[in-house]
Amino acid sequence: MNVGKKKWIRFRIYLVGIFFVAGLLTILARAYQLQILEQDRLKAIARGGYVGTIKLPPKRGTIYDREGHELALSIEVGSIYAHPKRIKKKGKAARKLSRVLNERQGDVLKILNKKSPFVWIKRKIAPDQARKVAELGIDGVGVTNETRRYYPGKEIAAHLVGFTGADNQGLEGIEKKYDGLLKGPHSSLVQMRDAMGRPFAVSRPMASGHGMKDIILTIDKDIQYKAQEALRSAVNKARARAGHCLVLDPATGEILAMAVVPEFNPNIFSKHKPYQWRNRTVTDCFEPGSTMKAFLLAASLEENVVTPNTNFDCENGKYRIGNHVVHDTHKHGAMSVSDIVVHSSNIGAIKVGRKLGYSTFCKYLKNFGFGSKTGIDLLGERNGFVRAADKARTIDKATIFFGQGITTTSLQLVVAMGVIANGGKLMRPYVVKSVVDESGRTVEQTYPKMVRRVLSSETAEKVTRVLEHVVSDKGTAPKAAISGFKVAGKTGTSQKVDPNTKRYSRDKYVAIFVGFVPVDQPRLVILVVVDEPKGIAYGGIVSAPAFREIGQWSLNHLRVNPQIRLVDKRVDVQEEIKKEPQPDLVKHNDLRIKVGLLPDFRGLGMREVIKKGRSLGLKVLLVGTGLAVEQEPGPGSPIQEVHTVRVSFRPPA
Amino acid sequence: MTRRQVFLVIFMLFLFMGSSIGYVWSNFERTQIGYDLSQLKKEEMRLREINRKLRLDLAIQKSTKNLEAIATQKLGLRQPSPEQIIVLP
Repeated sequence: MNVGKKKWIRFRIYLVGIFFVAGLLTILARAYQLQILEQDRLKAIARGGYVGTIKLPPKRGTIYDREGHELALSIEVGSIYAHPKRIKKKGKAARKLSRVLNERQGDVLKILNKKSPFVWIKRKIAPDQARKVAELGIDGVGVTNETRRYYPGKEIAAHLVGFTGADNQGLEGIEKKYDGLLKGPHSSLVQMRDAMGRPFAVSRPMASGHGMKDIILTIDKDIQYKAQEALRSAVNKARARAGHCLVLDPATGEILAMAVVPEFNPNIFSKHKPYQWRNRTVTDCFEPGSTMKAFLLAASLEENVVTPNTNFDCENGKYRIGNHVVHDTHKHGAMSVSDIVVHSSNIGAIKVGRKLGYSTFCKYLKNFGFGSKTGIDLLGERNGFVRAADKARTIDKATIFFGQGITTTSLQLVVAMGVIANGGKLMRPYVVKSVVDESGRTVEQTYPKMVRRVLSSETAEKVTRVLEHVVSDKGTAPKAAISGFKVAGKTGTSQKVDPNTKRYSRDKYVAIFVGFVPVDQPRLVILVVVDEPKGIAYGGIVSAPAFREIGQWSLNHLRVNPQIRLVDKRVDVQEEIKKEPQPDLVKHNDLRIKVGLLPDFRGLGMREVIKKGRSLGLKVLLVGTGLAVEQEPGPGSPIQEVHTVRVSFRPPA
Repeated sequence: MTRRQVFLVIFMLFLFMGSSIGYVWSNFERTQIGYDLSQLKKEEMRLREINRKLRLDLAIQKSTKNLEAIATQKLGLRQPSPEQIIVLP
């Protein structure tokens, strides 16, 4: 082999080598370009082929009452939309749609004939209706899922809970105040699709941002219901303009009920007028009238300027201050401080107040929380107004002691009465008990908070004793008495300022009753305000019966046992038995009480045995549970010789 | 080739085939489970939604107004007066 041929072969080998190396380098370069430089773009294209994302409708947290009953709840519903330009036969499409949606064909056609590229045909309809539309398969018409807010209690706590708009945004009340917490994130579902487009391997819903939260309120829906019902009937009966009612737990400051008349149904809020949506318990101020005398008494006793027995001359119902004359409803001579409050004498109140001093009283009013926001977790709370000492005229310095020339919200008044009820502590009122996340964990919890101590517990006790008499027959509010319980409270009837004349109106009043029950360990402070009642306007007549109704129901609901036993139980129960025919579940002839003989208890329940035994004045010993099977002594024994009956019970088989 | 070697080759062949079939089978199974899973997930979401709807229904049924109407009108119950409440020790 010659040298030239060898060189040629070597050259060819190099050539092939270079060819392969160049090829390899090209491949590497392309790989680098695809795998590294354009990775993101290409990956996205690929994912688009086999990964599908479904947008889920944004959820919204639930609002519960204190016992976990739903007050506001979101449900998935369907909405029908259309791209009008893509629909070929609009008339036919409109006919088909109108049949499924129960709408007029012309109305649907009008929507479809709109120029815009996207229109809603009908929003928030029942899911099966939406499915029927999807089954029609009209080109250019689509179905999407949305959520709709429902308020199952309708009017219940509507002013407090508020409502949401069409796009799930809170517009009023708790819904607005806590919109950020309740609002769910926009979440989507990522899933792989096969060649046929069927999904497999679905991931968990992906959420952007934080999760939604549920809110638990301090409201008790049963007490709330009764408060609304009693208030509504009080307002209707008095043909009044409006009314508010608050029920507060004095020990904690929790609001148990917050009722406002006029009412509205948040499910169809747009059918009501905006003034009906307003939560008047925090946004409306009024003059508290004679209810202030309770706080005047508290301040005077705390400052030791008077005792409940100190006497003042009430000037026989007429008292001149500067150019003004103050009147009392009834003429009184000399009266004790206690009676001044019980009979609600304005002149007496002025005299007590003068002894206390205007600025000292103002200081106490501020301590009771008047004139500044209570700090409740609600929107639109107002301050109320207490006139500073240097701006007050002589007449202002007199009328404030019976609650004219000062304004307050319902909330301030009920919280202030709570101070007297709970032994002198001003509690911060609140409506949100806790915030819970989706897995049920508590994220935030509101605890009772004492703002300040206003009165010593001894003073609070003394004031309570006086306020108890207000609800007695000689006081101004016997209609507030709840049988079985001791009640304390104060009435108020204040004149309203006429917005046209800027003077006190002669026929526009606010009738107020605020009180608490049971006196010894108050569970409820209840305030009833009736705005502009027609006819008799006294708080003790217009508002007190609603207090009684709400109080009685709520105490039963909270299982508070009656404190006072009726004196003549024997007569009462006997009458009760006569009135109510006994249920003839057990046909015992000798069930009826034969005079002088011990009845047969056998076959009766424990309750009936006790009732019957008591009505005969017997001591009943109970053994076991269920229905009575044996008694000692036996039936028919002469009753005079019997003091104690021993009755054995056995559960029915 | 000895008998032993033939045996070994056949064994290896079976092993290879077996593992291939096993691989394909597991892959197939995985896909099937994926389909089932997505179906179940859909079912779960559907049931959750039904649950919410039933909760709403229950809340409407349990509203105090409803309960009071049933208790007082249908069953003839009423609020007890204080003397009718007897506290059992």
